[in-house]
Amino acid sequence: MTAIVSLVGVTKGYVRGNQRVEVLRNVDFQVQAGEFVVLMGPSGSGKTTLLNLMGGLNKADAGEVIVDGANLNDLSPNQLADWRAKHLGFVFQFYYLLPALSAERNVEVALFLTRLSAAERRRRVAAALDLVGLRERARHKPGELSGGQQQRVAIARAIVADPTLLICDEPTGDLDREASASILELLQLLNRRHGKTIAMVTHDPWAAEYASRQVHLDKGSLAIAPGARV
Amino acid sequence: MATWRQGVVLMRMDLTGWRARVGTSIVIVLGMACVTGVLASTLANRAGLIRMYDATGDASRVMIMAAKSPSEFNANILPSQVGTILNAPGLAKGSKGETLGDAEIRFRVLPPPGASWRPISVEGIGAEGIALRQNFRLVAGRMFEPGLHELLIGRSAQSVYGLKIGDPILMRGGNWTVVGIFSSGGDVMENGLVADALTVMSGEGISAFGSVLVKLERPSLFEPLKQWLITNPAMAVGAERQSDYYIRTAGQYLGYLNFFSFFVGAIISIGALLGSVNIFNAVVSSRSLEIATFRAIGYRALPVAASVVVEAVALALAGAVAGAGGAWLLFDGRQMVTGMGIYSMSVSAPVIALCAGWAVTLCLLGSAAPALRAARLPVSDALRSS
Amino acid sequence: MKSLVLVWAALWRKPSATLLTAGATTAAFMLFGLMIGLYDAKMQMLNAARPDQIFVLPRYYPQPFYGMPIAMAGEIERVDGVAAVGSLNNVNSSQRGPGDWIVLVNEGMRDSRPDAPVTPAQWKLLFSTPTSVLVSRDLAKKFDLKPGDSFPVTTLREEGSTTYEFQVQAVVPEDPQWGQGMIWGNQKYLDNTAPLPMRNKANIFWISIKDAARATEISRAIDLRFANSPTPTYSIPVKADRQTQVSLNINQIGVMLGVAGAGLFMVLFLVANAVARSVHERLPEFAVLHTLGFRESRLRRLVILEAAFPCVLGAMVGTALAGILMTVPARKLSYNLSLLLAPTLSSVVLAWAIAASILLALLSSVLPLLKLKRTHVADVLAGR
Repeated sequence: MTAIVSLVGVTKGYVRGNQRVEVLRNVDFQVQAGEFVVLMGPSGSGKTTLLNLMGGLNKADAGEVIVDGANLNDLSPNQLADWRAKHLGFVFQFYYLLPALSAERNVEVALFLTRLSAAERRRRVAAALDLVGLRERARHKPGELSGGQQQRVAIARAIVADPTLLICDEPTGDLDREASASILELLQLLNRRHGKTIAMVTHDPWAAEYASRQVHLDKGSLAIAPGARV
Repeated sequence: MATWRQGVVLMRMDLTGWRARVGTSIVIVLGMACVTGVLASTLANRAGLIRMYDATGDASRVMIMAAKSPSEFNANILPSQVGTILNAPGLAKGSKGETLGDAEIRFRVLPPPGASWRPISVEGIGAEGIALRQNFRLVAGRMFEPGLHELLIGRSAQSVYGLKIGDPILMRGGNWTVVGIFSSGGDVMENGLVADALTVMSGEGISAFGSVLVKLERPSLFEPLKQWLITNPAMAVGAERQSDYYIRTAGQYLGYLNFFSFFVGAIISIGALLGSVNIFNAVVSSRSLEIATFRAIGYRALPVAASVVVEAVALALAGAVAGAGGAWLLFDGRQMVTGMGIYSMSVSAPVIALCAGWAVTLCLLGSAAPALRAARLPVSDALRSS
Repeated sequence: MKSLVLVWAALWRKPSATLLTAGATTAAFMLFGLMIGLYDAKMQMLNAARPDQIFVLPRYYPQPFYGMPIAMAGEIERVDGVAAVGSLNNVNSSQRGPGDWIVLVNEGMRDSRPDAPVTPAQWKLLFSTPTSVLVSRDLAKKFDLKPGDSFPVTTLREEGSTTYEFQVQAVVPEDPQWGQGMIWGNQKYLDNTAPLPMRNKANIFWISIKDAARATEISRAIDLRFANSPTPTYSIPVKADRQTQVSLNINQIGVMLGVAGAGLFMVLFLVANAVARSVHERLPEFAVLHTLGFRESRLRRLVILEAAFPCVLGAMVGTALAGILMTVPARKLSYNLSLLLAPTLSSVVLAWAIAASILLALLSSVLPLLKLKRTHVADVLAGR
């Protein structure tokens, strides 16, 4: 297996008020292609920061972040944007769908940056919605869907452009157990059957069980789960 | 707690909490400032014109003109009629016992080349012409000499036409010379030239006067004078208070100015009204948790609604002050040159009051629906969604 | 085009707020259209004014005044440099309607107004019968007049009232020098039928001269010629008259442009506030678009387009409403208003409205864009 994500000696801090808070300290971390890795840890341990570094939303203060061969520290904001469009899919706790657009239009937004024809975009959107089991609700607006369904639309939006890496930040944090289970099963399906590499943050040990590997973060450093690889 | 006390508490919190909504508050204040600024600057035009007419005649000054074509430009009053008119009852007397009445004529000439192509009026006045105009004073040069081709120019006219002492004015029979500059309190006469009536009439070949200006002992004697003139059918003259005459002759223009002001004011107000509804809606939305909390702890709906309206009124007044103040800075005292004369725009107290009333009304209308929404806000929903 | 889907979604997130903002912008642009239209009409008149024409008015009006003797035209023609002399006369209509616009002209006008939008055939028609009138397009529309129609005009004079019946011979284009519509009749009608003292008179002489550079000199020469006559005159070059009007009315023009500007200034803040609020509320959406690979420039474009929608829609609808208002038939307006200088909805007004709407959109996006620039995507997504 080849590493699709490679963080080497990464340090990241923020300035809060007059104080600098170091969130990640000299972290080395890899995600292999086809892995479903889950990042766990208490609040403030740096798991979302790590995810954002992998997604190019933040830049490391020190160290290297290499995703699919690209050193994210070397990319300009525009290059990063283009890179995200091609290689990444994001799923968030609060779905962040555009309320005025139908489910299919919300998914299609991710394809607006491609040169695909309208027909091709429609075909891919239909396929993505089919995959997340929402083909019949394609014309519904977010307000007409349940939380679980909205998150499925968000997942369809994240995968429709066929990204290399799927980054999920607490995707089940706003859902009940039943809806959470179906979302996690969907992610597992995407990983196992469709080969998607997934990095997910959660603080729920039950949700973490769906992943192929668990990584624990504590006070900005990695604490390896018993029996797991880093 | 009594409703009014709840209202006071909420209003005080509103007014002190405006800092949290400084952006929207500024937008409302600026919007109202634009509305009142537009209204004040357009109304200032009309107010300035009326002020000029008011300066022209107090209620005791009356113009007597031909009944059929009552205009001072129409030379219709024969010299033989003047003596009879000055014998009318109720006319005031001067210090030497002379009747305060003056036969006058008005016509237009062109200023010399290079000054202006706008015709300027010449007012021919008689012996009592100055005594009848208490605000008249010479500000430069000297008085004209009857019998000589000499003129005075009003200060307003001078600033527009650029004429100075010594400049020639071509009239029938040759050039007349400007020998002095006068002020007459910014009235109509100040818009033009003044000369001796008999000298200009003889020079211009005009055989009749345009009007006889008289002063009444007291304003209430106007009707008896009018009746006395009517009962002399041979005279064929009528009487009109001087200020009324100018307002009548400018009636159409004043109507237009009024229409223009309120038409323009109404259009911009529609814009401001729609904008303010939008903003007050947003204010209510942003305060929904605060409103719901107050309602949950026992505050009634009415004070909640009233607090929204009071905030709107406070912002409207601030906007009105800014708008009328801006109009005052920009336009008050600015000279206007129109077919009706030369006058200064006036952002007067009544204009400012009207603008403030207008702005408050707009904000009341704009805040009514959002205030109602605030009062009807479902408390549990607001608390839950927040 | 694809971005428009997102802009549309943003606009209809809160339809009432979008419509209220667009309504406010429409009102401002309606005002803007009317004011710029009025300004443009003034400027058009100034630009159309001919430097080689002069008009002559009587210096005072001894009563009863019937006009200047038409014989003066011959004397004016003898002044050095004068090319042609035409005469104009009013009918003094006693009722409101087309009669207010009627100006009776003599055959001399054909040569003194060679620039008039009247063809040789139409001039011929006008002078073929005394009752003929030529009506300009705007007034024909205002009063529902077409060739062949006739309308009566009653005049009130000391000598008693007289009713004239005029017949429309042709509808002609607007005369740019006239400014507010015209109805030209045949002076012969008055000369044949009016009470004797009113015949063969002119209220204005309209003169064309051979050399525009001599306009001032010729005006003075005309006034000098009549200075000692029973009818002294004042003569004004047309171009100088219009320029004087514009320069003296500079404060009025200032108020007019100030009003137009105030409306736009007001909506600038309304639109900026609405867009800023919308951007603030949708920061997570922008953050998601960022994660989807939207470049910052594309996000900026979305904000500007969102601001542009109410501005451009308001400019289009507002200018169109102003245009409709400009064409309201005179009889449906108050008398005062119907006599006004009509604003024009020319390409200049449209160009100003479009330019203003774009500027408005750009300016009102500044604050929201700054807000967007200061926002950190990761913070927004983390709910900070």
